[in-house]
Amino acid sequence: MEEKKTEEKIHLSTDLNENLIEMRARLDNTADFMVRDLYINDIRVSLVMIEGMVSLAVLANLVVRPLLNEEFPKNTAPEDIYDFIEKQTIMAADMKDVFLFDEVFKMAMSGFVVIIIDGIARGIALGAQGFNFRSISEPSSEVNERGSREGFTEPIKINLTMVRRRIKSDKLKFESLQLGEQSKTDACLIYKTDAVSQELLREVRRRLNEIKLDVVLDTGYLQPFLEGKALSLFSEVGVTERPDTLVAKILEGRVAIMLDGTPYALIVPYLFSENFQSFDDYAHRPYFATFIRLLKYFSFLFTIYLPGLYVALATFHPEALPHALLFNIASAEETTPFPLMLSALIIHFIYEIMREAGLRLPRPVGHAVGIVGALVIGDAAVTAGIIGSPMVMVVALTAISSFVVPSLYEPVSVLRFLFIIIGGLTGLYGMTIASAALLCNACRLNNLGVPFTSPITPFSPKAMRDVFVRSSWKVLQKGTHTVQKLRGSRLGK
Amino acid sequence: MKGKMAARLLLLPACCMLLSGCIKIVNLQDRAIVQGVGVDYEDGQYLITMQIFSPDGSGGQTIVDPSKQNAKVITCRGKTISEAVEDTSISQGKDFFFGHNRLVILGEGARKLPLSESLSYFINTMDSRADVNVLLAEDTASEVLNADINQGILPALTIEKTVQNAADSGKISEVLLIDILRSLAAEHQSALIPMIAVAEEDAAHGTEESKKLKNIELTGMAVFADGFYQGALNEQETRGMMFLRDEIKRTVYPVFNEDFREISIELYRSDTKIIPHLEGGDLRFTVQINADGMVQEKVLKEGKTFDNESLSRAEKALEDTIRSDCEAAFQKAVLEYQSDVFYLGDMVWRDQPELWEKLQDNWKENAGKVELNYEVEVDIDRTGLQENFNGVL
Amino acid sequence: MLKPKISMPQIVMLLTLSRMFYTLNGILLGTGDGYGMAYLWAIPLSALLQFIVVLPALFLSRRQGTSFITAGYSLWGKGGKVMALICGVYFLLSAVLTVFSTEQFMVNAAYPEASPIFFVLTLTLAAAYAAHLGLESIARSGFIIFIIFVCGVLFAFLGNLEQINLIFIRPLGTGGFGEVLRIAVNLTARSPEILLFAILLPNLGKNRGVKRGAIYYLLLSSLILEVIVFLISAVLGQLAQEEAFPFYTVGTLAKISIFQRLDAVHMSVWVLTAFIRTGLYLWAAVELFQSLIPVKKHRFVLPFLGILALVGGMLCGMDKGAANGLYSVMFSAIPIFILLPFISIALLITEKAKEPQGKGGAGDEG
Repeated sequence: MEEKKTEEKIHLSTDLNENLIEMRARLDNTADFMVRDLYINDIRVSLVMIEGMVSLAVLANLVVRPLLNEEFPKNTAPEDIYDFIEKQTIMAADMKDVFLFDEVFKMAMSGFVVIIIDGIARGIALGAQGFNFRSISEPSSEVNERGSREGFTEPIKINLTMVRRRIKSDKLKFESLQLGEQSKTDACLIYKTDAVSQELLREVRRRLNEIKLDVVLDTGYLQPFLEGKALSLFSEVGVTERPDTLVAKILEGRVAIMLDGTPYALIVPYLFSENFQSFDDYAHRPYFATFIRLLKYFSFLFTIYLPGLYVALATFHPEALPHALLFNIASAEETTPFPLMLSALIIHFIYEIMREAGLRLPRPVGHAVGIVGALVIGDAAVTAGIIGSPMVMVVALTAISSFVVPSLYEPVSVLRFLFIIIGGLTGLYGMTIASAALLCNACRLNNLGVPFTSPITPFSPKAMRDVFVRSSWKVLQKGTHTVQKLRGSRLGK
Repeated sequence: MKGKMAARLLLLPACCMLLSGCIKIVNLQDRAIVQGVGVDYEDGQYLITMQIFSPDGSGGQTIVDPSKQNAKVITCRGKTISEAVEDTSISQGKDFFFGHNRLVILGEGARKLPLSESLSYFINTMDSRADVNVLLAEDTASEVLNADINQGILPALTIEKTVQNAADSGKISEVLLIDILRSLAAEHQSALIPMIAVAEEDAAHGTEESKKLKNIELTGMAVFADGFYQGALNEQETRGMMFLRDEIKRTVYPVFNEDFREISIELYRSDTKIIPHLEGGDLRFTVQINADGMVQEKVLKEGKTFDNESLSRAEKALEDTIRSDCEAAFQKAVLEYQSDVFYLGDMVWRDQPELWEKLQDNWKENAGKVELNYEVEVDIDRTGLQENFNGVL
Repeated sequence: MLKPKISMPQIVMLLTLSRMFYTLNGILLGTGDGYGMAYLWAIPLSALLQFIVVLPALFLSRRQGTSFITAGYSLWGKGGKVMALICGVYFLLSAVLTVFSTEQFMVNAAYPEASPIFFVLTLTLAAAYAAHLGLESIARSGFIIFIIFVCGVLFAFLGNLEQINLIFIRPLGTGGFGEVLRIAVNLTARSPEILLFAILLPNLGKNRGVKRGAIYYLLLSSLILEVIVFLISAVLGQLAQEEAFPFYTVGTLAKISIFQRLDAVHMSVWVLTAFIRTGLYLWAAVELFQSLIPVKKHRFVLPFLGILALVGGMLCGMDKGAANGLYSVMFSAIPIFILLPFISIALLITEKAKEPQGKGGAGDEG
């Protein structure tokens, strides 16, 4: 394997023709490989690029026009042309010397134009990207009332710019790396050198170095490698599409990982309580933000437990229900053919089908799915006596509550079904034992040295100012609380 | 490795779900929700009447129609209550669920049995609640549960509400099963249970057919000593009893004296303390009652004014009435029925433990020798909205 | 491998929660003793007794910088192993009793037609899982469960305000201090948490404030116990002696507006308490047994002890005689009054005897 690699790492030669033949052979004469030649005093200069990646206007202004307009003396050597290009294209976004074929391909495929001069065994890669990309728009997954409408896009450079604009500090560092043996996707670690723990950095680098994937197309591919070894339903890696959120996390001593080709950045370490924080909280007044936070926690518990509790109480512990409610439920269930647990499972399953269908269908048709779901399935099922209306209300409430905390949708969906089954088979006892085991499991998570359930437990009083309540900025401004300072954190400085 | 072990450990509880056959699952459709239970005893057998929830005309919709009875009454017999309930459960096809039971009504026949026997089923069954209301029917319990009460979702709920309202108004004391259990656990086994009867009323004039409406009324408190029924307290004695037990939340007293043709005072706050002490070797109890009242309605006699003096006289008359009510309750319950429903023994035990050591073995006789000294103070501090009060308040 | 570090507040809450478990069925308070003033006085006296009992172990821990078990190893060699074995067995039996008590509660109070094996199996497995996850996990989840427990007690208290009548509290009577002392000794004997406190000390993040931690644990657990016993006494009176699960009965009577008859919720709170307690004791037993055998075989200890706990729980359920025998052994004064103070004192004497001449003063490492 290593010998093969050594073979592929062939150095550029001084013979330009040979270089171009090697390149075409390696790329198997791929259609988008483009070479444009210039002659400066009979010295051949080739511009190697990938069609559609380079802005021809930038190329013309940056390289071609200056080269053609310059009057080079008769005895101009290839090195002189090389020096001229280096000095002339000082305004290029990126400039790098390339010596190997691999480097030439990588740069060309990243939208660079590689200038190779006959007689010189190296080339200059100039950033002249002109490929089309999605413009900066509002993030689709994290919608806020206030705050910026900018979300990350696919090109990593633009994303890094958005981050840099928000932290004008010399301590903000971008550390580039490449992931994917074949795809060689550009990635970047972002952190603040005066806030981050060196231990954390080392561990993140180690885990990323362990990735042996051929292709890395999305940050989702990296998530399992960054998560801890413990089995868990909850993700220990945060994901965000918003530069402002990313910046706030970096200031708390976290490390962000950005990948070219995806607008979703990863943040480690990630705490459970962060699922309930959103950027809007910091724009609203503290009392309202606190109310919304508590609402989110309540919705999370509601969506997991409500169907299971309903089934468990009605089947095993009907004395806990107020009598009027019990009578209504008993009347409703009197004629239904299914036991409560089964009808809960059926209706929730149908809901998941509708939700997934609505997600995948084209937008015009997606509305119809909602109408079909609500009217036909919900109302008709009740009228036909297949399912009781309290059950439909329960599933509706559960569904709405699950969208209050979208980042937890995956574990919530699974847990909901789990608790329906446990509640239906064993009542509140089974649900209690399962909840206790789940709690223990969540408390066990210590990814990258920081307890997942922190600062709730282990209890960190100072950090709690931004968990269940959102203290006012006058309080929050008193020192940034980094992840190292959390109680139970094993990270050093 | 740790992950595998954890996974295996987690898988096992999942497999335990297969043991779900170890827990009996009873669907809501298969439960008969009992709201009221009547216990009668005749010819050596228990006659159990149960009022269960039976929704009328709900179908696929869920709203329970409160204008309908929504109840079904089932009667069963057996040598024990368990036997009666079990036999009926088999024939009904539904499991009787006592978790939402509101009432346990003991009939005239059951009253002759010791309380611990007639209530034993409800004490020991896991389903049954300790906070269920216990009532004593003047006639049979089944008559009460069969009464055609067209109010609320279920008749049993209406009866429970009536009992609660009566307790709030100082007419009777609301007694839960836990109160009886507590009393039975004490040595004296003294208990009180409200009495209930069914009354028939004619419909209002103007209707084409006269319909006999059944209504329930609470007629007083039954007194138990040593777990056996002794007798009943009438309305006046019941109120005195409630004062002595500090259970009055609110009650209305009409007063007729030289100033008023009639003045109704609502006592909105009442506080009673009973302090045991020795007076020359004899056990005495001082009963301190402090009550605040408000004038609800009044009709002055001709030539009389509503002022401080007339108010004071009304207060004095009220104090005398309360005193006589309390004394009547004490005479009946403690002296005649030999029941320690006022916890006099417990008070002696708490405040005078050495004295209690001497008295506890013959407490019934010793209790018969005690005297109550009353210090009743009524303060009418709210005179209502009428403007004819001549005085400083 | 990093030894799990937990904080003193976490230990205090864990042990308080564990101690509260037995208030459910009155086992903490023994049979035949009525609730009342005698118990209310006995609780603080028991706290004092427990503090006296644990003091030598705390002193030893400060001098040695480790738990009294590890001190036993270093000072007594093989004798230390015997100590560890006895403590391990004690904790395992405590776990078995917890499982059995929970199973008894569930089949009598909540699920009368259920098979006992279901509760024994599920609780033991869940607790074994918690023990496998480790002390950190148990301590962190213990914090949350402690809050839930306190809310449960608070609800039971507030919901029973109408039922509370001070006249129902059994007075002290002529038994006087003797009765109070007897109950205090009983209470102390039924509190293995104080032994566990001494063993958990090496897991503390910082070993400072150990005495303060012991005091906080005793104060907190005594306060909650006072509230519970007061509630039972003032609501049930003499009925409490006849009830199998007096605090559960009190909980079922609690009523605030439409929130009433929440037996199932109270049952859940106790199941959570049982879960933490069983997990904690299983973990402690595993740690102690692991210290006796080579590292290669450590991974077998938890499954082995889990199976033993399971079998023990089932055996107790099938044979009431065995259960009663176990109770009488575990709740006699011997385990607490011998394992903890006497052995700690003996170790201190050994340490003093082994100290080279000329070295003076206590090696204060705190």
